[in-house]
Amino acid sequence: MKNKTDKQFSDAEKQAVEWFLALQSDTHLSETQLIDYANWLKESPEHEDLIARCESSWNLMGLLEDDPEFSAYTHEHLPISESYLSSMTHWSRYAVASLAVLLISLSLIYFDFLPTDELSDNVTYYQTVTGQQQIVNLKDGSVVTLNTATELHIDYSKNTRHVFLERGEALFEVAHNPERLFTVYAGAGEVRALGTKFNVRVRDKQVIVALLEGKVEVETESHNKINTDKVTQTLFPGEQTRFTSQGEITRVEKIDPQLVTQWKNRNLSFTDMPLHEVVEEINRYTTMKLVVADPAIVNKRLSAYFYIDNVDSFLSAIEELFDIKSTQQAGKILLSQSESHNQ
Amino acid sequence: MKSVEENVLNIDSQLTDERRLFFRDLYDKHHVALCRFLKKLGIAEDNMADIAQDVYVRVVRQNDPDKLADAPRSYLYMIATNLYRDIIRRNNRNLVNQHVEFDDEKSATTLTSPEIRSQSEESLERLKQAIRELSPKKRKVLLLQRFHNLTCQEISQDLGIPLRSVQRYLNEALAFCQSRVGEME
Repeated sequence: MKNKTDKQFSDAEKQAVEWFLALQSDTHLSETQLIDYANWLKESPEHEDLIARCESSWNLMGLLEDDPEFSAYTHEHLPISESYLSSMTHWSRYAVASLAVLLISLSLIYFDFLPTDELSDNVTYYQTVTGQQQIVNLKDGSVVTLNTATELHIDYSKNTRHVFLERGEALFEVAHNPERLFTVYAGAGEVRALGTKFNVRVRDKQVIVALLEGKVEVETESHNKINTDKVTQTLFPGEQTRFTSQGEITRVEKIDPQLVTQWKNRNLSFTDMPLHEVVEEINRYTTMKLVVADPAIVNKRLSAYFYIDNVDSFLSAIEELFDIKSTQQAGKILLSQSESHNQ
Repeated sequence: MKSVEENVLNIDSQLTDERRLFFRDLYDKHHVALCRFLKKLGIAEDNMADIAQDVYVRVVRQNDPDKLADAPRSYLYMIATNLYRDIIRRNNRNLVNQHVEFDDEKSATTLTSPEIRSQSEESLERLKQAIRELSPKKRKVLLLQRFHNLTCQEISQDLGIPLRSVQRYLNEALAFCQSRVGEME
């Protein structure tokens, strides 16, 4: 295997990396700098090629953000830092409020939001707070279930059904109507359906679309720095795909439909999942956030199944089974290796 | 010749009047400067109008009000520079495959074909391996910047590493990754 040390990079490679990172940063390059860059590109075909390679590595790297192995590297050898402590005191103020919100459980709200005149344009907003879920029955027979901390607005007109999922997660059960395409806009893409059942989850840097029944088409516009491409992916039942905020669609994955929609029953189940991901998932539903305070257990894998309103049962189970103890401190629940483990 | 509205603003019929005015205003304020910039890039007079128009089309498509509000002219220049890079790339390709007709449209739509997909999966694997082989410091700097969008300044403060070292780590880490991803098997 070739193992390049720093000294072996060519001048062109070094320049390409420098230009690429400069263009990538949020600070604007001056007119002169951009002209210099353009002239450099023109010098040799190799230069553009190297920029393209940097770009493709950079874009690919974006896909790793949700990969626990790689997101964990950003925590590597990180002591419990000052910023962490200051954020705790900040959060302690919310301790009381968070308990109150925990008490809000599933609220089923049935809504008929379309006015009698169905021809008129109509935009309706729906929002759930942390821990809350909401079922919205639409006039056309479609049902949208909002998961925790979700915000969407629905715009129905005579010929179209548009849903804008701003954040969070929702399950769509679309009433069949070939005349009125049902489109969910999320992140850098859109999901088009006629009559189907699918789940869309908006995460920080990516959107996940899972199909349960029927057929949907996912289309994104990828705005990488070179150009704008439209990319389309058709999903079949039992498949899911992800797309990034840059509009790149990743490969299709097989899913277990039961698991994708278990949130509807306020169940969470994890199979062989690293602790930090489990914590991230639970934190979507609770305002009393769990924090992994011990690097030694960040990647500890566990399997669990529990009711989201009963985080305590989860905590006592992991204490028993995985030697992870929890201590409540300043409005957060800190998880660490229990002492008995080291004996 | 068609007006700006016809050419550019109609690409998105859903533009609100407000946005339409906004882009009109952008055009009025920066068009002359943009053309001057394009000239400096070496764009011939004949192509100037077309390329300037492409710049606006991208601006409307990308619809990034923050960047526009922040520094509209720099943003236009940036987009123009990216367009210029496209032109260079196309020329380079034509030099290589003079006999192969290159269809830009086609390459975009076949992006998800199994063949290309497995290719990018392979690249992803190589990238993962490259990241694993980086020293922990370089790796951390690279991923902090990529995942959390931290500036070098912020990383320097967070990790207590001098700014110049952060920049060097970042450069070296990316150089290493791109060389690995681009390697021929």
